[in-house]
Amino acid sequence: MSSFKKRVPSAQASLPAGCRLSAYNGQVLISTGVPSLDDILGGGLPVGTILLIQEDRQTSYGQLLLKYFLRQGIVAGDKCVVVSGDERPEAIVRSLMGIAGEESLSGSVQQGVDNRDDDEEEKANQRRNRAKGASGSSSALDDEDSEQDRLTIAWRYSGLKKFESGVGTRPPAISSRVNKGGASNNGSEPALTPSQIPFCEQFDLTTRISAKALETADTTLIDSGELLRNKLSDNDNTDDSDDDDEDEDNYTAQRAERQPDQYRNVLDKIRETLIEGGFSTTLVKDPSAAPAAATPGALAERHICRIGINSIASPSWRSKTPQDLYKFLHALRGLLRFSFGAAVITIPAHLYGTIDQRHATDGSTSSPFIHRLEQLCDASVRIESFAGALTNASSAASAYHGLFHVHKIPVLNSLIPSSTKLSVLLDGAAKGSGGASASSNGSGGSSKGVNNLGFKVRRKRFAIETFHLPPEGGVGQRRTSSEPSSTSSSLSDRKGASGSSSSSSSSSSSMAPKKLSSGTEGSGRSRSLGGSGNKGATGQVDVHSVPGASGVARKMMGLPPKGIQGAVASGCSTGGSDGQEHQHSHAHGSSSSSSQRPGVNLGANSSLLDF
Amino acid sequence: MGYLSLESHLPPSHAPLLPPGDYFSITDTQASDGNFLLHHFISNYVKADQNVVLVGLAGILVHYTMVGRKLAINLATARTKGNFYFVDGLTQLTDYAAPNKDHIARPAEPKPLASGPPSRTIPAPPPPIVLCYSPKLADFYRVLEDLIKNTVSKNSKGPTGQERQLCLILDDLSVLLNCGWSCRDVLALVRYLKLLVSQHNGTLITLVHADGVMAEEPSQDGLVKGVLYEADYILDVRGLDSGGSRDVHGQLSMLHGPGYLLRQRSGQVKENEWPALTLHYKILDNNVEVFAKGYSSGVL
Repeated sequence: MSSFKKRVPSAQASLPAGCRLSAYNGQVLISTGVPSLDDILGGGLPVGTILLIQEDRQTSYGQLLLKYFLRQGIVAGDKCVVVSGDERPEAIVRSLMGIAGEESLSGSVQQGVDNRDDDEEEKANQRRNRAKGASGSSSALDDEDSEQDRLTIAWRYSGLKKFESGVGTRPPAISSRVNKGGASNNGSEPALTPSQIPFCEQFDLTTRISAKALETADTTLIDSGELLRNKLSDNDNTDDSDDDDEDEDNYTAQRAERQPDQYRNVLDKIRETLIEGGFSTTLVKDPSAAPAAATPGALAERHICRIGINSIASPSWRSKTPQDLYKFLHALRGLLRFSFGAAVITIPAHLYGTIDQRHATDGSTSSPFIHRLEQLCDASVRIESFAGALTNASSAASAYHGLFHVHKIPVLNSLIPSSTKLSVLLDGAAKGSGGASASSNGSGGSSKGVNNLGFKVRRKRFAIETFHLPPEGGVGQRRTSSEPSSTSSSLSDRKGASGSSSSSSSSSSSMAPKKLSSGTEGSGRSRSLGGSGNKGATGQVDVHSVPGASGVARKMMGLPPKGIQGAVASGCSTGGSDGQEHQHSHAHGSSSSSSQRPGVNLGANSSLLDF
Repeated sequence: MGYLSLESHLPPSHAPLLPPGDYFSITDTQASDGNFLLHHFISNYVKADQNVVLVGLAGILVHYTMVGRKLAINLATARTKGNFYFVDGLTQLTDYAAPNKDHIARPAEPKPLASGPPSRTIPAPPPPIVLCYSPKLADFYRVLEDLIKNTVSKNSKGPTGQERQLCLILDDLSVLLNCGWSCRDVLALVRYLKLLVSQHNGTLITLVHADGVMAEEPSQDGLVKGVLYEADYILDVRGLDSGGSRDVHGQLSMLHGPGYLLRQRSGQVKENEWPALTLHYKILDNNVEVFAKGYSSGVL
């Protein structure tokens, strides 16, 4: 009998709605609602695991991620368990975001399908501004956009992928849904069959969840604060009745004894929900009853139980012993491993840092408490928003709202985490921006932590991208400074800048590609030669005062269009070139929060030697 | 067979098995998980048809079975044969999880099996033993003691007639500490288990997390130090000091425990038989490459 079996589509169809199989280890995955976070986790959050999100200070991006997770669950028709102590769980559910393109019933008008993101609009604006500033003929300007795409430094790079810092979203099938919604106008979710439910829906942060969707949503709300109050009042009543004649010491001891075990109560509730809904595979409501026969059809009708816990271990959570939370997580993990369920837990980790860590912008070393929690979870990420940072490091990276640290990614049923194979954001190899001389993220993560990640919150979505600093002074400024010499179209101007050579001579623009290719393809020595040669030849072009940047690094910074940068960055496979890439970021960011990591310094030093 | 490149660096006296009566302690950090070493030992012992008892305090049986499949061993058949025992230390370990017991489904009657395809003549492996909550760790010890004595009495002799070796693996000692037992109790459990296992021609392997951050907590620090004090051999897994790399996932130090020198003097171990050394490793899909520092495929 052959060991090769053709994968029949029916096996895929029998998955629960909104799930997919991991391409690496066959794990059932659900989406977190954020495509880039799915990518980091290796395609999605594996069923049966716990994701810990360490919240940001002063902003609530952590809760935003939790909301994405829950909202995606409502789209897929999953059971959503919302646990919250600080805020009322109802408030969290009611404030979930709407689906992009869906007509919101609450009356917020959305004209048509505005699929364009802020980023693209920005780019368009930039182009427009550039067009105003430039002196070239209008026809040349019209060409510019298309020219920018086609422009290659050297033919051998033309086949390579474009440089991208994020994960592209799949084109959503929004138009069809809008039509359907317009025709029947009764909420789109029930009309979808399980196979039609998207793995990851596109949401719109400017709208709220529709009332219809809220009605159909299958949610269980657990207000941990409410649980606590009930228990406390119960205890008070009993205390009053029989503790009147007891002395003070005994009384307090008894109070401690009777202090409610809040985590236990929450866990009991979760277990109850899992068992009631039939999400658990080992635990049943009535053990004596005959187990229901598992049929493939039943699997397709099955839903996932999504557990979202908001701000666990915040001051409103009471614990009886220091181990309460550890025990809670361990028991929850044991529960979820044998259930069709997954949990996302946010925790205000910054409350638990030690004094010096509390003020560090890069609190990569977490407290022992948080660290132990991470051991008990399957995945752990930390959000660090610039708004909450105490230094003004954010000014250098205004394009991002904060940094995104990956501490741990799930390793299940395999030796290596699936994201090392599948993730675009974590693994620099897939994209060509990272390299062997990676930044040493103090936290590292079980992934290699090659990339620094940042996040942006646009009008419509939350996106995690590779963090890189913009050219100093901005692209626009650089362009205008190279203006005087340009007599021809802006195209050759840009070529000249990319070659970091003088644009006064017409031959230089044709020389530039050759120089660059020789610089990037060879070993470190040949590159340094190329760099110094460039410097000698030009000497007049350099616009920025970037301390410690070699000629090639300048070149890299001067590259305006994405296509070129990608070609260069991905074309370099040796370690030295990566050093330059880091040099690029280091030179700009030496005063910023992301600098001062050993790996980066190493890269900078290696290219300083070229000088 | 486990990882070939690692095999040559382990104590050679009983290769591919470990020297019986010894205690191997694996310490790891969050950035570099030491779990892959456990798989190596499990697969080596199962391949050699020896007895393995695995206590899953953090991992579940499915995980080990799936990885075992990648390493070309079948843990399900080993369980049926009685060579491999899995102890579930996850689902009912704490008092929080204790109510789970009331809801466990009774094992299905053999009736549905009869209706299944006739190829399933192999009896299903026995259900894993579950560590149920108890305030005293001594109860856990008793469970494991019963299991090990049972196992050894049933199949102590290998196919060739010589005595079988035993390997007891605890996949995450830190969990016990996290779940509320004191450092003293956990260390006492380790000592008891070490003694128990050495009586039965066995080796004890434990894994404990030893991140630098954790040293701030006295209990966690005490556990790591205590475990290292007890150990005969120490396998220390940590990330590279210089950060991450695509070709090197971390650094693996193989060290002698504190008792090594005395045992060397008394002639129990030959001198220079097993030098302590530090290597680098890279985890692949179904193998782990271990190589000398600086000899990664990315460099050469």
